[in-house]
Amino acid sequence: MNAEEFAQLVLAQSDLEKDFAPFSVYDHDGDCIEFIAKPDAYFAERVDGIVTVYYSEESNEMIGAQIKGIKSLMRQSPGLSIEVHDGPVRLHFLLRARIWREDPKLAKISVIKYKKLISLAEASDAKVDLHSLVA
Amino acid sequence: MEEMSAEKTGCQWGGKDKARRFYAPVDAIDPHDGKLWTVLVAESKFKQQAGRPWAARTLAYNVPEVLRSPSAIFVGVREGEELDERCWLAYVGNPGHRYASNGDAIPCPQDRVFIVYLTADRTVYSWRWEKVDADGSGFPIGYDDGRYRAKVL
Repeated sequence: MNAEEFAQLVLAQSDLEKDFAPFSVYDHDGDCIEFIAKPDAYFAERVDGIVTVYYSEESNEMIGAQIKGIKSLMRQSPGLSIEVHDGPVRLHFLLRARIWREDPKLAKISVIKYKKLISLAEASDAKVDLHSLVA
Repeated sequence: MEEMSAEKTGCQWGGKDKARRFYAPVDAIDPHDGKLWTVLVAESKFKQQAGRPWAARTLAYNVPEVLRSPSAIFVGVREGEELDERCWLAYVGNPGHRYASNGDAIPCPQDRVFIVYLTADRTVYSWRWEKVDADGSGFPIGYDDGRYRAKVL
């Protein structure tokens, strides 16, 4: 499929007139979660090998993130499967599970950015369906 | 940043053509020979752009443009922590324009670069604008700091 055919397919299937709703979705291909809280155009900033945060081009505020390595996180935090079995998991649980594995004294990760992202996920009541990972 | 030919990466990305149900094929540059091969985009990604005209047009236009005209292709986007992504690919490029939140095409800031990420089976799973590194390379911040394994184009 050439570029123009691809563009027409994308635009035909993307509902541009639909009202935006925040979402978080698990991507099986990339083993990552895409979390978008606001519809603004954004640029990305890689926090570490796991988390990339999105900042609004308009307001510069954090409006979303990509969280990678979800299968690995589930292996390292097996108790998470209890939450997953009960239905969509609150995103801030996953982020806390990630941050709690770290020793803050070693500061391997940007704790401030993680905390901001956790706050955003809580404020958005972001949940993601990971049931396929434990089925 | 180490540069190596695609053949020396030890990666097997398969033949030129790819097809999978519920995935759209799109042309991209094959780092082996600079000619075209097919990569895949999940059709479920299309609907995720609903209510965000800029996001739909970014996927519709910026993604295929960078796949066909990358300024560089990197291999190995993440390693360690039980993860094996040493053959995943990052296409980096500078599209002619980007899209504002309302979907209007606007000029690209010079300090931004567009990246499209693919898994080892050549499935596009992510794309985004990032700030460029301060070293004048035009590549994303940290490209030469362990973020990628090698540059293959």
